[in-house]
Amino acid sequence: MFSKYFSNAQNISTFGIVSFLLFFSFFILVLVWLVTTKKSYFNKMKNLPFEDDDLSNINHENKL
Amino acid sequence: MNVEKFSYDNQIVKQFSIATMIWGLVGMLVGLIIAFQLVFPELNFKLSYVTFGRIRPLHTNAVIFAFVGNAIFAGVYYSLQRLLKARMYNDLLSKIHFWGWQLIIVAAAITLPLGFTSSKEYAELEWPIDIAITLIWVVFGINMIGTIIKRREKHMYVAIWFYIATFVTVAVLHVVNSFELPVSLFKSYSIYAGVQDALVQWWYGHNAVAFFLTTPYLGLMYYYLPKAANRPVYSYRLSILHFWALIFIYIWAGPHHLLYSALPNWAQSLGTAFSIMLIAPSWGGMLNGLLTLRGAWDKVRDEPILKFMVVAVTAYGMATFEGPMLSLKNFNALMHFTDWIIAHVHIGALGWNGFLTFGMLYWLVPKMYGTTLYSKKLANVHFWHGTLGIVIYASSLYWAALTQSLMWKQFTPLGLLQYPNFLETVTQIIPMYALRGIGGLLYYAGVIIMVYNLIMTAKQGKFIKNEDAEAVPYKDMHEKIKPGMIHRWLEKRPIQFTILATVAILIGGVIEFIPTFLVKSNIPTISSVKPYSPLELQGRDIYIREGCLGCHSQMVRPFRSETERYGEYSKAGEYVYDHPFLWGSKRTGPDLHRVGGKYSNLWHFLHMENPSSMSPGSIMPYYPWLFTDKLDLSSTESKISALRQLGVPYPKGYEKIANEELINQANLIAEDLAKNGAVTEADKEIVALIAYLQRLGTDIKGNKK
Repeated sequence: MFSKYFSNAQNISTFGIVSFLLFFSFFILVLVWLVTTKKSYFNKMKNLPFEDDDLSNINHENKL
Repeated sequence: MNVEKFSYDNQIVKQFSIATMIWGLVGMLVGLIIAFQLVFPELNFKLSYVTFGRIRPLHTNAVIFAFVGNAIFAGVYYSLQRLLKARMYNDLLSKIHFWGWQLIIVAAAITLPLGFTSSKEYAELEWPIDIAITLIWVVFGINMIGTIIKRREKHMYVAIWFYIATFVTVAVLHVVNSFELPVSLFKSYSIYAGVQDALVQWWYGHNAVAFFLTTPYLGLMYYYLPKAANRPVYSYRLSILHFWALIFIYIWAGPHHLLYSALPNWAQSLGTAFSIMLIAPSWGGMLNGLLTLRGAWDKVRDEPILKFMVVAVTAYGMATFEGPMLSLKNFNALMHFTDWIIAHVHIGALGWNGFLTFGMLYWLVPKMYGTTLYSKKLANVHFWHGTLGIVIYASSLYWAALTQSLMWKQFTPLGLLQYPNFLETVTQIIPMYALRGIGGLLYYAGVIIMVYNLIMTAKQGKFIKNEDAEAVPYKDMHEKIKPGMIHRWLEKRPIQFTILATVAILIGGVIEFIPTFLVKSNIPTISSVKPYSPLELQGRDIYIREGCLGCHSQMVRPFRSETERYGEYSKAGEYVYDHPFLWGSKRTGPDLHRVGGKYSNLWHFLHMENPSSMSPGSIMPYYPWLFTDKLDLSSTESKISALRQLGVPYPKGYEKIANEELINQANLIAEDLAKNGAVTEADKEIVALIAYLQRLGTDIKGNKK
């Protein structure tokens, strides 16, 4: 209904496609990061808040 | 290896924690008052400083920026130091940050009841306070980034990314949305007008929710939930993925606040699409929080801290599902402008922010006082008061919203509105408003119990002002960067990380704004739309001062149920001179965009003096001061000049004769009132307000009388 106001704007439809491509490629990039990073690193990172308290051996794969 | 000794600053955490509790009590009390004002309008006391329109922004600002704000800073200052193994960068900056922020809150608490407001939701504070906020925010940023730079830990834990994203995004949002041209010390006009102002405002408004109420709290969740549960976060991979997805997507979703409005359709669709996408990263965070408790659910049974956190994270999940649903056009058509939105934000505020804050405080205070919680039993009592409070609060408003919305849209078999009198749909839900107030009261009782419990905890312990610690300095650590370690590389470089996060959030904003600003010429100029007359302009500023837009929208959506009730739907071109836009976001009273010419001057006069005289049963406040206070004519000249500078086509030199025209128009209205039996002097504020209301929506034809 309001789109008629903007019918004179050039290539307004490309904005949707550009938005999608930007997000999609960014998302893929982050996924690549995650897949190529080693698990030991994640285990180390998630125990960062605990280093003082010596709880670093807990993770969710080992049942307590 | 060389080990350094240092200490963590607990004093600043304690100060922010105390401020959290005090402002929480104040902000929620104001919330209770406004909730009951809707049931008992007498609580407005016919006193300008405590009318609903003026203290509703006080409630929202106090809860968001004072309660939640201080809680963020308390939580960040405690966890940041420990995660980075470093004291805060500079104690003086910490102090300036703390006292500066409290001064800003006090300034807000004084200026809002006085009616100094920009009218933009959650950004109501006037320009001098906006500048102060910017300065103090920068102090916070320097202190945080400084601490990150002098850290003794190679990597930045996920919580810290959330803190950084919060800092940069809130800075960008605040600055862009606060562009305004000062007219006097406490009055300014937004540099944007109409549709553009609406877009900027809701880009800000939505992302204030995202980056003030969500990302910092996710950061807090990633630290305090694992600490309280004594186990690491469920998936660190998931935390990276949902962090980047969240900050990238959130920034796009703002236009969903403007569905069916005069905003261009493509922008509305963009807002909807990204809002639906937001479910994924939001639920990623929720699941990561809940699954952290996997294998430890037995602990939740007897640990009130975990109970609070579980409900908080669940409420986060609920609110972030509800949000995208409300962004769907069909559901939005039903629920926008109703109390559903109020319920929705309170699931977030009371559940997510409130409960996570309480859980954090119950964990922090005993730690800092080297003791245990004074009473677990009282904490459990608090938990149940709070939980029941939220349930009662939300369900009563959901019920109210459904009832009212369906009544708005109900037609008779003959095709007429079944409830043509708006007030009928309001009186129907007042019992639900009462129930909502009771829910709020329960929640508040819980908070009082918590404050008592924490004071007693502090009394039985001894405050550890500086907590000793030791760690290996950063420069003594070495790690070679290998391929496939991009994110690790990034994590060690806070500056690069900050820049990338900024780019991620800027893309969305830029893509939204550029077309809307570029196609400005394509917002069809409606030749009959003229700038406001000086009297109408002054009346409009009274409308802004009294916070009328807290209850009245100025946006007739293109639905038959609305055009039947209010008149011709609103066009983008009608708002081109509106600095700021006043579309509103809630209809506690009817829409006013087509109110001009609908009633006589006398009707407005009597209605503002005593709303129930014209509309029996009305819950609108009385405005007696408008009848005694003289209109301030000294500001007319600077207002006209300021608006001309912003592009409103007042002729050159018009400001000199503006007051002359103003007096002429006021005399005409006063004469008309006198003819109909209401005697007033033409120089009273009520005359200006009537002039504005009678002008509203009359620029284009097709108006329903």
